Amino acid sequence: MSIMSINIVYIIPELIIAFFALLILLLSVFIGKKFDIALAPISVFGIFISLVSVFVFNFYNKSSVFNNSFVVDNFSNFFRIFILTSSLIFIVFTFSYSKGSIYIKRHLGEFYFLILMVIIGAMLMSASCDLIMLFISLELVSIPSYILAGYEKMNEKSEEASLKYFILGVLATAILVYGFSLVYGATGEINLKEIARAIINRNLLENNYVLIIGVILSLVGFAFKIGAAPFHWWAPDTYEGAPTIITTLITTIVKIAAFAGLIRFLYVGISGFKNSIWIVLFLVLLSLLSVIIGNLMALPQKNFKRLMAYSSIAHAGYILIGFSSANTDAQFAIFIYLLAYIAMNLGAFSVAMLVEKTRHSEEIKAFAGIGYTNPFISICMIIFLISMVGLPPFAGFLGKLLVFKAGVENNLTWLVIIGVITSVISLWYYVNIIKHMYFVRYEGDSSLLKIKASKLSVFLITILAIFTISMVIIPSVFILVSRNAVVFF
Amino acid sequence: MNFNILSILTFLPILGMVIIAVVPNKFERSAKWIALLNSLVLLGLSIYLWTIFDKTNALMQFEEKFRWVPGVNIYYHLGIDGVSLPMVFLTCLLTVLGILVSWNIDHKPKVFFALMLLLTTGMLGVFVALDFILFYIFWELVLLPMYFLIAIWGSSNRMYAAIKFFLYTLFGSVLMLVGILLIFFNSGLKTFDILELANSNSLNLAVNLQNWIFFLLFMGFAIKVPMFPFHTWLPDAHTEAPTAGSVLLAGILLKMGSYGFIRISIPILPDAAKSWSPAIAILAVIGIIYGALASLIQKDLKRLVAFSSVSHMGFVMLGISMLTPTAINGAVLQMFNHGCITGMLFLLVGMIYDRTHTRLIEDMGGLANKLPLWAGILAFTSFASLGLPGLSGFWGEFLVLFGTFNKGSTFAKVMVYISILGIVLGAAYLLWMLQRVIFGNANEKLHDLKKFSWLEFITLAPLIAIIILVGVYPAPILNIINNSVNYILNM
Repeated sequence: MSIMSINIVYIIPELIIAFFALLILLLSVFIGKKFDIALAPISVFGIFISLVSVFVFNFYNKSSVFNNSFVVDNFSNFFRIFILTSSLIFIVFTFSYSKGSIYIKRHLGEFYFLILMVIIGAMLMSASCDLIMLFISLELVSIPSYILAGYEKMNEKSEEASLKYFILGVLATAILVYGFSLVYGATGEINLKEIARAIINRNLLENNYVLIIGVILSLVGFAFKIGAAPFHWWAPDTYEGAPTIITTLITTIVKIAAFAGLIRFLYVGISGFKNSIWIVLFLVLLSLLSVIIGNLMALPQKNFKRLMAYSSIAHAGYILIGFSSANTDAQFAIFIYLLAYIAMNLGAFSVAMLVEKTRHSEEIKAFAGIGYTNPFISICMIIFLISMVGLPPFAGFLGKLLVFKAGVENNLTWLVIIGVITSVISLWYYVNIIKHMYFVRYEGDSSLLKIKASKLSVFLITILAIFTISMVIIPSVFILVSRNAVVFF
Repeated sequence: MNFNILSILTFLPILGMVIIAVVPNKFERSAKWIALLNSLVLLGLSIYLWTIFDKTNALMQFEEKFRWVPGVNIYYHLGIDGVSLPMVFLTCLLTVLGILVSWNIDHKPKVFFALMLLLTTGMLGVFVALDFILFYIFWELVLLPMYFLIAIWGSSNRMYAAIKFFLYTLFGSVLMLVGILLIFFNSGLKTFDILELANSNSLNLAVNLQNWIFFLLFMGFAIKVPMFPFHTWLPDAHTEAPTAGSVLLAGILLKMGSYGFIRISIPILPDAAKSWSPAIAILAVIGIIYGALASLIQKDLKRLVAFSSVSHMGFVMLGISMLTPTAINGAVLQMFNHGCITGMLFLLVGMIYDRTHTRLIEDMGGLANKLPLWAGILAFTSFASLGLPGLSGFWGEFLVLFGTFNKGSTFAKVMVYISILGIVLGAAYLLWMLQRVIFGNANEKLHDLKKFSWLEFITLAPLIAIIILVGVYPAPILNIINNSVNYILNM
């Protein structure tokens, strides 16, 4: 296939982001500091154009290009829209955050360039349909995020975060690639659909242990990226040390990307993975350990970001319960959970960033008293936190309900029972934040009592809160969308 | 019926809450008026509902049903029958009284009344929802406002009590959720509809599985009731909550648990209900005796009333466990009566606390001279509570014991004998409390007690009327309950 015959239309959204990423890099190099103020709006514009292009070019065109390594289908379009929309919100939060950090201010061009690279990687991940493409896009997501985690380069914690993330990340990638190579060795294919065909034709899942070990090693790599226990050790330190805005990036967009890759890999490539007791056992084990370790370790945390690290480990565990669903009809549970997870996580982090900006502290103590000084933001924060517990009428409830439903359907009732009990435990530490917001007096400087919040941030927080509620009030819309997204090309 | 009265009833408080939320802080005093108006409309609607309710019909009435979540078979399904109607009425009534008794709250009144209204939606929703998921949503919706009511306006140990309440009840309800999911998949119907599940005789659940599901649901409901040994959250929450919170906790929230047994566990899992019946009966009787004994030794007036709830809810559960129409009729009537009587006791305790700023029984005494009307009403309510014939408390307990005895088995008879001891103990702690609080020498610390106001009397008057009315002539309410209970048991 010659280069000219490639139908470029299918990767227009990614190309647009790439174009704007390079544009930003060039502008910041050649025009320099004067142009800094325009960088964020340019990124927003780029993401917006890309989002529009998804609707214009790809929505009704479904195909696979580049030797079937890149596919455009409902699944990838769902994730593209999902990733771009959350990036849009995310980028707006960088506006005010970057003003408060001298390092980010000093290298603003690179900052936005790297973020856009992560976004491209995430989009490619959801569309990739062979092992090499999966690997490349995973690296495209990871490498910029290693750099971003260490962006505050004089801050020891940030450096530690970056280094830990990098070393453990590279290790995980190595394991992943080794796993991929075994899968390739066992099946002789790199394309996910061909792999699936080979597995079915030669009945590999039942008699080929090389394949099973390969799949499990690949899962280890993915588990690292989604932060599932016992491969979560990097998460608390990285979350705590990285600049909060980057923690937000890691916990939202990087995580969606990793889940998109995992879904693609398991459901398209190893499509019969339900028949292999070892793979199922491994997934169940990951999920079990994640919900237990995540929720228990979150209990004693005093630092908000560290707490969120453990909480996101727990959420990864809940989402993994959804992987137990055998029929495609129930797979959308995972999508719903991801939607809910991103909305409430972005929301909670955005409130935390506002608090951090005013009070210069990431401790839970810093939330003290904001219930009275900033009633509106606090109510939104309650919505996000209670949604994370999984209480109705908030999005987290719908996610947990569907995921648990899938678990019960597949005779994993015991796992679901552990899941619900640990989510009761999670109530304790989420409510602890609420307790600080309302029932603890702020002991710092009284001029920092009221949290300064720009109108734009409050607007976005409101949108996220409304989204979190509306997922339960009008779930049919979200379920319809998610059900359609299960259609792979 | 041209308008969806149940939806309006359930979601009207949300409207009130939104209105309160948008009222500027300058006019925060208007919040209570909005809340009162809202709750009075609710009360009016519930009385109207009572009058248009077809008393001879045992089936669900005023049903509303439409598909809510298409892919998952979740319906928006509301309906009301003879068991839920008294509960809905009681909820509306106690909300009005709760708002009246909180009239002088000056700490964050806007938030307080908004939360009260949100709580009301949750409580009403539980009693009218006929879809499991909807039921669950309303069930959980109650927790958050109650947490804040206790945590912000409670007394000294409020944070502990609030989180304990939250964790305990959430623990029960998530297990209930697992039970709900198990029913969904194993019933073969793939539906969350409570009526459909109850009506189908072909639920092919294995007996073993039924027992497990019953256990999971039991955890949810029993913690809410609360049955011994899951009752430990109750004394803390009731004691620390503000008066309105205690009234609604004791009056309505506890009934959600026993209502769940009648609406869900018994009709959907009849076989398991039979095999669990002795265990529930034993726990219920332990609760009756334990609650009464614990009440005897309480030094704190509010805590005494709280423990008496454990004892009285034991009667409800004993009635439910017997699975006979008479006993369950008694249980439902006792739910209604206990809501009125204990609600009133908490109102009275709240009123005296506002004056004396102490709840310790030893700090009171001789209040019959200082506040004669209050003391008289307290005595009246205590007599109602200990089951004096002619007042409403009598009928519920009588029917429960009668129905239990009528079952004929030795086991049931033994249960009755022991519970009668509970009634005697009940008389003991209430009379002893009266003796120490309203008779005897006045404590000199108590002086300058505010006079009993008209507002306070108006708050109590409806409950006094109901207690006498039901006590003298329980037939109208019993007829309504009886039809539906018979229907539920024959399903």
